[in-house]
Amino acid sequence: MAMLQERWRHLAARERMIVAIGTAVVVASLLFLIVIDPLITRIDKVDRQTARKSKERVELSVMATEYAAKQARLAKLEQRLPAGDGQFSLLAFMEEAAASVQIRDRIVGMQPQQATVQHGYQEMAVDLRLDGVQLPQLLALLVALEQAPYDVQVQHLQIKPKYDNPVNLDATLRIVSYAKA
Amino acid sequence: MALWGGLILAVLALTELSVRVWVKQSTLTQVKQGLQAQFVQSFGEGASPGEELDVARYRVAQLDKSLAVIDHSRNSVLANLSDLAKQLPPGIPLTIRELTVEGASVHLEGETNSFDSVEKIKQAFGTNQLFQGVSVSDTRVGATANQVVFRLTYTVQRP
Repeated sequence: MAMLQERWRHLAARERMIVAIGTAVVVASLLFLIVIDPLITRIDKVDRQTARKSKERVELSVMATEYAAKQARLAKLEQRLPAGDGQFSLLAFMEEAAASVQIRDRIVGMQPQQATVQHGYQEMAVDLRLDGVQLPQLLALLVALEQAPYDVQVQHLQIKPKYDNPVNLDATLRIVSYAKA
Repeated sequence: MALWGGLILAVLALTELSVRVWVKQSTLTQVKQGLQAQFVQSFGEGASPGEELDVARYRVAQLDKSLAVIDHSRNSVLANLSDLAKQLPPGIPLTIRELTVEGASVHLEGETNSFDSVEKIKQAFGTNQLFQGVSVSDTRVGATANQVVFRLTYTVQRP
């Protein structure tokens, strides 16, 4: 330090000016590189993160609304599912529905299908074959199924008029019902 | 004097920058906490900070899968039959030989009196946006006079 002071004293005024300016530039550059630039970079990074998180909040809010609506829809549908305690029989239910619209005698086949499980729901299906049923009777059966207290759906319907008497129809229906597995 | 002034200015600038970083960091922390709170309120627990959106998307997708299994309200057979009956063009004779409704897909095999009538039936379904992929196939002359047999296929797409 003493040596530096000695040298400084021997410098001419012009040289002192050059050294002082040079030192100031070096110090300012170091200060910028070591302190200011990282702080500015940090500010930019935090700004970007804040903007992204704010956007995520908006997106989450939209998803929350969608989630609530879907959850309510699912809860409403699940209320109509038969209890999974084995007391509900789709075969018996179909027989009752057919009887209620006076077409029980038109049933020529009722074939239960192998139950399958999808996403936590057990699917029960029955293939129902009707012979010589008339359109109003078939529609009455479809209405009875749609208005049933349980969620029973017609997954497949095939109608063919009889060749000798087209008023009478041969119909094949696949009726499915779900229960919580 | 100028040196001291410069030093004071530098210290003030540094302080200002540091305060700005601190304020922005606090804002970011608040936004993150708000996001987490919003997630917990709507979806319940179960997402680590930073994973909220991914977990929310997963939960919505799970609900969609469950609804896809048990919600068939858009594919009501009765509604599909009703739409079919309403869409048939008036004044064109049509005898249905076979009708199959499979979910949202409808296949109809019918007979009418001319190829022009087949085209009119196709156009009648094609103009309604409810019916997608309307196509007519296997159009041929039937066994009797003035008889044209065809197959009409479409998918019902309810909004």
